[in-house]
Amino acid sequence: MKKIISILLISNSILAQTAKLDTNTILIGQQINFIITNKVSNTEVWPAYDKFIGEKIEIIKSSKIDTIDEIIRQKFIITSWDSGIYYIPPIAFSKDNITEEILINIQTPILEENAKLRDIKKPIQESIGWSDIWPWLITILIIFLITYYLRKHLSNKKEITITSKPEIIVPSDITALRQLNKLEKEKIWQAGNVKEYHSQLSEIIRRYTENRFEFIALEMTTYEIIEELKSIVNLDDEELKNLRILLQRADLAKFAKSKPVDSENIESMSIAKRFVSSTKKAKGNE
Amino acid sequence: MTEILQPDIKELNEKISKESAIIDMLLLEMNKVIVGQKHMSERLLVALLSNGHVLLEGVPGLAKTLAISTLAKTIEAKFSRLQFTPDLLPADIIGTQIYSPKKENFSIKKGPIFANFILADEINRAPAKVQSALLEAMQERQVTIGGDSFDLDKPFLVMATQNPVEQEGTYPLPEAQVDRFMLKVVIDYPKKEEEKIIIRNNLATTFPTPNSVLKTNAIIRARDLVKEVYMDEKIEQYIIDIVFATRNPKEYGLDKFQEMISFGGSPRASINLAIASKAYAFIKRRGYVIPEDVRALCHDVLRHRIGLTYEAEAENITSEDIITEILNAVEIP
Repeated sequence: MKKIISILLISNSILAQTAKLDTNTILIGQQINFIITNKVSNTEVWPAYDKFIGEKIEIIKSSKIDTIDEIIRQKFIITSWDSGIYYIPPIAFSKDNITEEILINIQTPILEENAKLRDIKKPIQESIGWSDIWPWLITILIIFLITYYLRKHLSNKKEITITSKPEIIVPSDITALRQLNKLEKEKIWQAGNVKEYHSQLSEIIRRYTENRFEFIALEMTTYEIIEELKSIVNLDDEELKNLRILLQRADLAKFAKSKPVDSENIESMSIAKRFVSSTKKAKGNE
Repeated sequence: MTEILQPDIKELNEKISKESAIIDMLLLEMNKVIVGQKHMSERLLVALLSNGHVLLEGVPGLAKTLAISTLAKTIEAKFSRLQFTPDLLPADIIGTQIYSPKKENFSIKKGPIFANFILADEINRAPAKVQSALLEAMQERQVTIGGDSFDLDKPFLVMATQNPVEQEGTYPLPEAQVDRFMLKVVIDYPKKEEEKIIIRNNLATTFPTPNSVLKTNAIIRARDLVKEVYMDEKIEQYIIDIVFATRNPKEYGLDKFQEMISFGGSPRASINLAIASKAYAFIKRRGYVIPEDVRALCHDVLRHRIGLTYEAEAENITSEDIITEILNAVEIP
């Protein structure tokens, strides 16, 4: 009977405090569970570990202290980074409740001498979770809302219509004829200013030619103007000949002290008017 | 069209018509030898009549030497050719004093510059001191040897040549010295038909030779007449506008060239353009200058007087482009 009682007492004390490992032999860095349990009634002290349980045995993670059916329990995930045999020292919960020390063998991986060289393992791709997706969804939503707001706002704005007076484009022939008539009325050559008369007459015709035929007649000589007109417009020879006479006569008056006679002054004016009238653009083309 | 010219212009026109016959004679004789290159021949006459000098730029073999030697032969004038080399000395051009042990004194030995027509071949091959000796003589029309000054012959025309291709081992003429040349004429290859005639002339048993048709005093007389050619104030204004446009292109609506021109034409450019235009009018048998004359010579008078900036060089803009644009921008009076 005594034997039975002593066995029960021993088993009771054994069951009361435990410190268990998943295995006593691990590879360097391998993580294993280390669980300690004890009866609540027998516990006076509960061990508080910081980072290490024993020499070179590191705690990776500690669970909360849990109590189930009068048993107090805590789980640790431990590992070691150095090969050798280490021990977890006994844990004293009370004077009578002390666990046994546990040996743990840390082994280095066995290298296969004949094994082929292998690449370093690639980083493990984490699976895409909801936390990866929602920032994008929110960004798209914001863009959509801004676009919608802007479109609505702009479409509601009244269209600003610029009302300005349409520019009246006076056809070049009308301008030229007006200027010629004005020059005629001023009676410049009759007042003895023949050079001025031919200078103005020549300029009116050059400006008209420049605007009407769109080339730089004001910067061209008489010869160049006639040659340009020959190449771009189908003017009859008589008209070109008359224009040449007009411009050359003006050149002589301007640069060679020439004084054309009265009939030539009148003739130049009529040549100019005829040239403008015969070369003006047809209505609707200007 | 009846030309009612003022009596003075009428008289001048008649005089010029008479005197300018020498131009036809000269051109006729020159054309016997020089095929094509009308532009060059005309510019040589312009320089000759306006007492200027010509800088010719063109690849070798374009009859540059032949042109000036022919001109010298047709005028019964003395011709010298100076081949500029890196070891040439100023004394080789203007002359020097030579000591005579027998007479126990120094005598003056005049250099080849004492001629009416000088061909300074490849002027940029000689060092600066030789170039400046020639250019000084061109400007002053006299040289000093051992303290004695000697007037150069009249007419005195220098035609210098530059090869635009080879620039290695050359001494480019400074801007101030290039400005001394009235005209810088760029000559190009002859046309196909012209080159055919050149080959025939050279393969023939006798090469055509020009006749001497003029004396130097005829040129002096023609020069006096050129000075009388009438230039209206409007033409003067046109010349000034063109030259000013090279200095301030912005004022003439050529904003794009403002940063491309480092310096424009000098007053010497205006003077030379005016004189050359008068000579050109004379060649065209006119007693008055018209804008055509100015435009015809604008490139030759201005191309070496416009300094370009790095911006222009980077954009491949040449002084030719600038002058063309200026002519298209400045209104003709």
